[in-house]
Amino acid sequence: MGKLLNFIYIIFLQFSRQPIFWLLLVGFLAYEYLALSDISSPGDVLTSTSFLVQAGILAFILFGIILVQLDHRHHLEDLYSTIERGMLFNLIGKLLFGLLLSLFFTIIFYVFYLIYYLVQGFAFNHIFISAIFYMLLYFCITFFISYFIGILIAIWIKGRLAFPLALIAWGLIGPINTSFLGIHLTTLARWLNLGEPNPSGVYNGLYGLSIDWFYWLKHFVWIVTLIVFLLIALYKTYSIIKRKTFSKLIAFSFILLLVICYGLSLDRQLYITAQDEEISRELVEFLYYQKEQPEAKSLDIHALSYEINLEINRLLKTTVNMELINNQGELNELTLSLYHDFKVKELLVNGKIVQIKRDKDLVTIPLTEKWGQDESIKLTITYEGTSSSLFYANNRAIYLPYYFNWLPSVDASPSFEVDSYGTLVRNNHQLKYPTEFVLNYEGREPLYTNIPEVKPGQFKGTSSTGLSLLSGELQERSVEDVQLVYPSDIKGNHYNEMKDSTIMLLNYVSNNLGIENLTYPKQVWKAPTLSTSDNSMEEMVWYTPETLIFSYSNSSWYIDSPAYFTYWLFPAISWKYEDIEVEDRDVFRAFDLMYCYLYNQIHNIKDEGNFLDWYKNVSSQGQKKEVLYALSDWLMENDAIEEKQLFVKDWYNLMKNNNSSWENVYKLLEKYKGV
Amino acid sequence: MKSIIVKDITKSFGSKRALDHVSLEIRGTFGLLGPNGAGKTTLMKLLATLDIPDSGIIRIDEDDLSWNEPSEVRERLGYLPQHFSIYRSLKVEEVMNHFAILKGIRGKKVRSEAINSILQSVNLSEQKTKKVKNLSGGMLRRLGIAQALLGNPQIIIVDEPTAGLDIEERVRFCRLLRKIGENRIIIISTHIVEDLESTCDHIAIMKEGKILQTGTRNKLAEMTKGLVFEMDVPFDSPIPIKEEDIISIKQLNNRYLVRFFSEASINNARTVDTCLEDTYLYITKRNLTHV
Repeated sequence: MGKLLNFIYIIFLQFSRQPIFWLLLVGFLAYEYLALSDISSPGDVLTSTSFLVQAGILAFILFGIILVQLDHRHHLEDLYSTIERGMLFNLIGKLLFGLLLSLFFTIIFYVFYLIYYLVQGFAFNHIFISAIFYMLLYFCITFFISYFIGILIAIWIKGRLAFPLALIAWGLIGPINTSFLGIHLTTLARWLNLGEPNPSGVYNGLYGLSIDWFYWLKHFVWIVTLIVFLLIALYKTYSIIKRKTFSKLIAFSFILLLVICYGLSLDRQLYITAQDEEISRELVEFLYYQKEQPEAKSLDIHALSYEINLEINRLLKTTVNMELINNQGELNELTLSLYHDFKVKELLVNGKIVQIKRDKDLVTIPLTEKWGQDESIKLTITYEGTSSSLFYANNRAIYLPYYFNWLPSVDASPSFEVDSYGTLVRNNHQLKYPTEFVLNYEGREPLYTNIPEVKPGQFKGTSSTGLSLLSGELQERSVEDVQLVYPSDIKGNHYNEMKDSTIMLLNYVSNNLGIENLTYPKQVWKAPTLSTSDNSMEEMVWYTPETLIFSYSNSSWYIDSPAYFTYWLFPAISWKYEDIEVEDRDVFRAFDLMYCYLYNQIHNIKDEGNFLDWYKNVSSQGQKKEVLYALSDWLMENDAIEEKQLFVKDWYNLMKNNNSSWENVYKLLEKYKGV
Repeated sequence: MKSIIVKDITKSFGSKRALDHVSLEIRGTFGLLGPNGAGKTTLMKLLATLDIPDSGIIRIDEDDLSWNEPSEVRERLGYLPQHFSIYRSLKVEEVMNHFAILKGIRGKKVRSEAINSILQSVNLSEQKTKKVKNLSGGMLRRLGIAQALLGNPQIIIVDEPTAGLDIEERVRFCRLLRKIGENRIIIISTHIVEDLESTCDHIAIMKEGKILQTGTRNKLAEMTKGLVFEMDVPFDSPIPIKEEDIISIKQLNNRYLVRFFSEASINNARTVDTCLEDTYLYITKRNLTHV
């Protein structure tokens, strides 16, 4: 050990006495400071530092080359070889020095990063722990691998040819390697990339940084491969190790590589926000739901209770015991919906195994005995599946909201659908009756749910809307008994403004549309899920009296434009909350826009009417077109507010009664305005 | 005194045979003399455990030490490569400390004493805190020998030790080698005959991978006794000696002084005292294994 430390010390002395070393360090920190001062989120700043990593990779490859070439130049290899294990200590010492140097740069970067954000007013929360792992992975290990590559290049290639090779290696392994490899080699580029996997993407405030086990394994593959090359050099070039030892070490390395590759193959499906894949999971889902979906007869049954044994690690694995009650006539079979990527392993009806029929998101269960009215039935369903970009269920993040059929749902509609704008939107699978839930959970902690935890890992309670689970790169605080859960990379400012606006809208809508139980919830979650469907204003907010969920990804609770907040919140607390069946999304969009514009007008909330362009821009013809144009013109006139208010109220009643066809809206409009 | 036995060593690189059944007994301060390509460096590398022979053995009988076990040999070996240098921004004492640790000298105090003593013996005490880049060529060579002396090795291998040094430094360095070779085996490889004359007791002359002659310095010098002549030749007269027999030509006031080999007496030529260089040239020019 002393001999290794001696080598490290000597190389350190040599390094520390070179002005270029200090110049590089100062340049590195200056660049970091520029990045920090430009980006307010500690998450975004890391995913945006790929240029720094790219530069660091080049510097470390060159460090490796220069150190070995110094030995060549001074003919030290012969000298060390005449000292027992001298050359071995020399090489290992060099590698350890590289590791320590990478670690040194990483620590300096981290300390600077931490101090900067703590001074900016951020609390020391989990993102700063994740940042350590991120920097270890993409700075420390990446720099070390670069340095290792530099050492091997210099060992194998003598002379100046090493430098063009260094440039090639630099171009191949950096996070912006697609610039060198071109877009046609993106798969290769992705595998070679040792930096941030998605350098052009934004930080995912729920999922956190790209520090999945997968990426660690990928780096380990590199390290083991480089060790194999080093062993070849030790055996062939330096004759340091004997043939027998060499063979054993090579065999061991290959076994290790196989094990790591097996781990990679398991985790490959867990690519985070799908941006890593050539075709994103989201696009896969879009194409899936674009095809015709099966239809099921709507049944008047509802769930009395769910007992869920849930394990979320690499996969979601669960066994759900549910009790259902039949509110209609006799049934021979039963259809539930369950997200199609959750594969049902086994299903029992009243303790007996039955063979189900799976058709996309629908699960049809034959009943051996007739199921009479007002009778209950017990189902036990075991299934498992992987995370996706549209929800999260792995050891990094969990977002399984009440409206998503991650639990078998009696609402036999697909999980998603593609609307008339070609947007993938969620279908609401929320419950309609109070339902008992028992959840036994094993997975990432802490887990946020809308039912209380009765003992570690067990949650119990009743909900009328469903069970929501949330976990990830989040932080928590309480304000006046309200649990606030939000991403670790934001300060969570402007909560009171959001709360006041929410309460005002809740009260107004409750009185105006007669919607019951519109109270301010005890849980407010901010879970930016970053899927394209979140871009439509109907998807920004989800509301139940227990939980309010925001999925927009800005850095504070409230948004700069209060008018927009109305447009986002209103659908959540009206037709989405009341689970009104949506037949034509454009009818609902037209309604939302009018209602919110009026609300903003009445409450003197500055609204430029930007959304109103939609009426004339959306594809329409016939009666739909007439209605939309008339609505647009009517809204532009700033008078007759009361009539407009009465009109939207009646329109909502039409929607509630499933009578909101364009024809009926036209008639209503005729009544109030005269089209 | 112990001796290294080199027996029937052969070493080839591809089709080129660098050493051809070389056998030697190395003792005291031993010089390897030969022109470029003679195989000196290959033999030195084998002796320094940097390479292994294709056949043959190297050992020290008295210690039951064989070069087949290089780790044991390395523990008793000090090596000064031909182009010794090290990281230029290190100080002399840092370099010495580095090699002392590497050679397993434990304890800070013990190391410090050993370093001071060696630096004193190579006359580098005053340069202890100087950086390598500030040392002259001679000082750097002395630092090289100082690191080789760490651990008190029984065998020191020095490859072309005076190459590139000025005369003054060369003389000083040869004197140093002589001094440190008193109780150990020193193997010096060179093509500069004068260096060996002033340092080595025993010398081997090599050419084309073979040992042409071995012996003590004096014995080798005397080998050409009676075969070396000098004659004066006026400027305007041709030199009546065959090219391959000429050892040297000196230009005097109005004539040349020609030194040459001859196996018989020649008119106007006189026999002169011989030196190691005469023998070296005589043997290597004629590839003679016996004179």
